[in-house]
Amino acid sequence: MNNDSQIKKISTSELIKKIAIHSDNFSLNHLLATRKLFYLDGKRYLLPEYLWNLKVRRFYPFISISNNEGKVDEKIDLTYDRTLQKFSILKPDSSTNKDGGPYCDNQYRVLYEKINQLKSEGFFENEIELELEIEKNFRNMVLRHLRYSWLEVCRKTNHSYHRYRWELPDETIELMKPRWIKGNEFRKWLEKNIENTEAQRSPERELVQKQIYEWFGYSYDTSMDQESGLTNILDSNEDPIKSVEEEIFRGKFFKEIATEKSSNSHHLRPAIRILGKEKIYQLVYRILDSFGYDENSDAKIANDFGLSKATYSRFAGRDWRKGDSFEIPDLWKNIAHVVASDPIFFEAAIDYGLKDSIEFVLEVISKEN
Amino acid sequence: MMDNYKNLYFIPIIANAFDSAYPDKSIHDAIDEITKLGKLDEYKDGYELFKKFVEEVIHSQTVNKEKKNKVFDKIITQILSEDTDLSEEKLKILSLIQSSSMLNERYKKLYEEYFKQISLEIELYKDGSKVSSKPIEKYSTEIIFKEIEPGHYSINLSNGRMLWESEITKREIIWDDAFPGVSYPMAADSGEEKIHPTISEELVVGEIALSIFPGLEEGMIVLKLSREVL
Repeated sequence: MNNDSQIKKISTSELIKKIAIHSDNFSLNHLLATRKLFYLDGKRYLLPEYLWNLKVRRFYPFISISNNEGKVDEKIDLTYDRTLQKFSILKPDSSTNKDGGPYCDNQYRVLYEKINQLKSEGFFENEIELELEIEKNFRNMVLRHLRYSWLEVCRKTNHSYHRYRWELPDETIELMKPRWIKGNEFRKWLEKNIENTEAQRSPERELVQKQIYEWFGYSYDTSMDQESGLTNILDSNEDPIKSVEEEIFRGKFFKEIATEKSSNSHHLRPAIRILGKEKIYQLVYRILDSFGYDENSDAKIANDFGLSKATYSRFAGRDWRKGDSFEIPDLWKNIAHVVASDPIFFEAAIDYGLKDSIEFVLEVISKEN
Repeated sequence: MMDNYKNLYFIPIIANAFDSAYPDKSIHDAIDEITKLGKLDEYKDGYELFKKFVEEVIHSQTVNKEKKNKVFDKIITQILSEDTDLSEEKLKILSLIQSSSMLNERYKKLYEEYFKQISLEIELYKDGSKVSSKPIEKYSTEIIFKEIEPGHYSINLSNGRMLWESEITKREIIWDDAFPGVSYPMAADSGEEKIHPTISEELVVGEIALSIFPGLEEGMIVLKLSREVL
């Protein structure tokens, strides 16, 4: 059947069957090069053309790009390539090539199963109607994979760890080191924290790596330059609240909030503003940093910074109830606005609100009218 | 102050998500975790505060109308790209969206732009160039291409599938070449039923059949569609 004049007449359903069951490259190439199964703005496109047109629109509205996302143009290019590959490259013979991918075999198998299901349900007995239904299912599958590809590309590109060789007297252990920490500092941390260095065997090495991840987290993406700002502030303080050694490993989100608050102190209440930029930074950072391990921290922090209970409550209190209503203290309100500016969080918040049919989502919608 | 220790349990969870190298997934996971914990007695009060926090996020002036629209666009397109019937939850969201005239307008725009199905057309190609195109409309039973002259023809669906391809010569479309010595039916008798096709073929079994009829100077291609085609 692999001859040009015959394959042109094969239904889309049959082509997909040949790709899914027989891994037929000829059918796959024919499908990609001649079948305009995708449409945009009332016009039909081949799959590569369709993806290209979506790429020109930066895949809007099918993906959301976080404010923190770097190298966006590169990631968009890679997302296009990856999605196209997921529908255009069949897995080579496993005996000759075990690497590479992603491959399209599975996508066409799923599509073929879907077509069989549609046929068995008896809704699409005629071929023309089935062609249209396949187009819809194929498009939805491509859009799903477009979203996956974006996430996969972001994950692959946002490496926050580098390889690091820990040289010991008798051995060398290869580990993943957070990118932001210098090699000599990382070595000091290892020497202090990893007692058992007989870690040549893989399970031991994994154990060491687990300890690194547990301490440093999986996700640090800050540079030492960014960290040095914090170091200077804390070093210059005569009454350091926490030592740099401990603080430097905390999350960057809290540091961003503390920096934002201290840089915009003119918006703060006078009783907080009077502390000055550096103290405000320390205050905010200490409040945020106290989560999870110090349930008495509020009173201590208020005391350390010379704040009255009322001032502290209005700034960062944990009880927001005022009679029957709620009043969000300044710091938490500010965090809400910071996270709102991230499209991913804002989308997740709306999604959450819609799922729970919370009234305020309707209010937002009606306000936008 | 210590009584409310767990009230803000959601803040470190959100912070961790933002610190993640994969914020997309982590943020959604964080909200799931906050919601799950919120069902436990010890976090019940905190969960109420989280709802207020989300309210503040949604009302935030830092998010302009354009950004809000982008979020709604993504939610709408996700619903529109569902394969199967929508779940109860999605139907509820859809009805919320459609109850807002502004969002319903966006819904319609996105539907038109990205999801509105284009009906298939029958395209006629002569010597590799498209010469005519006619939609397969619901309840249409016949598609006719007139003024057919000799040449290499193909008939395709607009999605690229070829239905038929052949060389058409004078013997198929010119009466005197097709039926030499037989006089062309008089005007009064010239209904198609009186003229025999020179070619008859089923293109899609039981759905589309092709006939080519000769004329005095040029021919005609007729596609008969079964009522079940669409």
